Amino acid sequence: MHMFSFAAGLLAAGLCAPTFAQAANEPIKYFTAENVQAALTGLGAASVTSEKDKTGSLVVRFSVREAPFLAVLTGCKGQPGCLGLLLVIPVGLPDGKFSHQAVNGFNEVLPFGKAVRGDDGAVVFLSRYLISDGGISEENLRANIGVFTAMPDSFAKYLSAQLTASLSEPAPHAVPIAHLEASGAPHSEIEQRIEMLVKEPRYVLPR
Amino acid sequence: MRKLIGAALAAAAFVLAGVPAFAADDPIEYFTGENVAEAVKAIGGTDVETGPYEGGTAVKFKRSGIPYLFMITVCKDRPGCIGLVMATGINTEGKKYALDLLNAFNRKSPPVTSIAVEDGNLLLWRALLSDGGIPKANLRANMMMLIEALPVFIEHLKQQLVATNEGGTTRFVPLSAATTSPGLRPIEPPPSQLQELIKDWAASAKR
Repeated sequence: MHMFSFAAGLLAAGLCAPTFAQAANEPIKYFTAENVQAALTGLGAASVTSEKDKTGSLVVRFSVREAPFLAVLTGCKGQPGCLGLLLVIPVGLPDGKFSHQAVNGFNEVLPFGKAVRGDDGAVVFLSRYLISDGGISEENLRANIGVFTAMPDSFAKYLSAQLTASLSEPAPHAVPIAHLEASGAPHSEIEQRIEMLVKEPRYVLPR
Repeated sequence: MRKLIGAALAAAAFVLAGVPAFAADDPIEYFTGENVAEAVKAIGGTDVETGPYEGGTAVKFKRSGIPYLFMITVCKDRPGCIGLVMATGINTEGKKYALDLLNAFNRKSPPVTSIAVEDGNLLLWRALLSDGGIPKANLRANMMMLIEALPVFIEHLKQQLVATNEGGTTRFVPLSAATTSPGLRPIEPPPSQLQELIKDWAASAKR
């Protein structure tokens, strides 16, 4: 069992900081570029911009402590706004690749977000997915974003705590794996976004 | 089959059938055994049991015969608990699933995280923060994210290819086609493992 302390992440995320004041604001029913940008600005994020990607989806870009993050609005079709918000940052190492073991191990110790390994192991997508179904308060949105933006630091600390061997490429698996994409199954909307994010410049984790 | 998977994914990711429409209810500021159990019952949970564990409260229940364990955490040094880890487990009956299979699922299903634990069994979970307040309808919708992801996850696992030498020719077929019983059985997440993890998070939160 990994004994990595999640304290740094919680601290950096503001979980241990005073709770955001409860406001009487109506919950956000749908994510929009405007309310996501407002939440980010309220958190002190820098370089907050929004754009439409090739598929017409809204992507909000922002940076926190010089790390570039993205917030991709999803689940928008047939809705007045968007029901999903995918927070994501592609991260890489100055050298070396991420092993499946390291990614799985990190996912064991950090429940408030997750790591997904890119195909070649050179990139890991740190992400958190929020939904506005039933409403989400702006304060809760900010808290979630705050937790998420601490993930690169948490991931870097986790990796540092692991044995060097855990960063090496694992032995090939004896059993071939049938990825859904390989079988020609239709990609989900989010998966398409992830595919596009592969081309994003990755944030190099501090060692 | 592929269409079914695609449809199920879309349903799990974006459309939460059966979740009550948006209602302006009082947001939950802190998770308690009572308000989590109430939400569990509202989504059709049965055999609901609430009890203490070290550092928090656990809510056990079944839905459609499948056991779930929700653990309330991040409680120390604050008026209430702001973390809720919602989990279910899969007993693989000794079969080891490759981590890249789990990674592929995590990649296409951002709302939940799948992990392999030490005994080879699998966990599927999603975690929430109540920081800033979370509407009850949003809590229920988030619970449904996990519940609706489980059958999609099991279906994904069954896509794993295995080699067969039928007719003297080696070929690869989905696990589900090669065996009458893929050996996947939903189980209550091993409490000892989950509690150990949550104890770490709770300890981290108070620092």
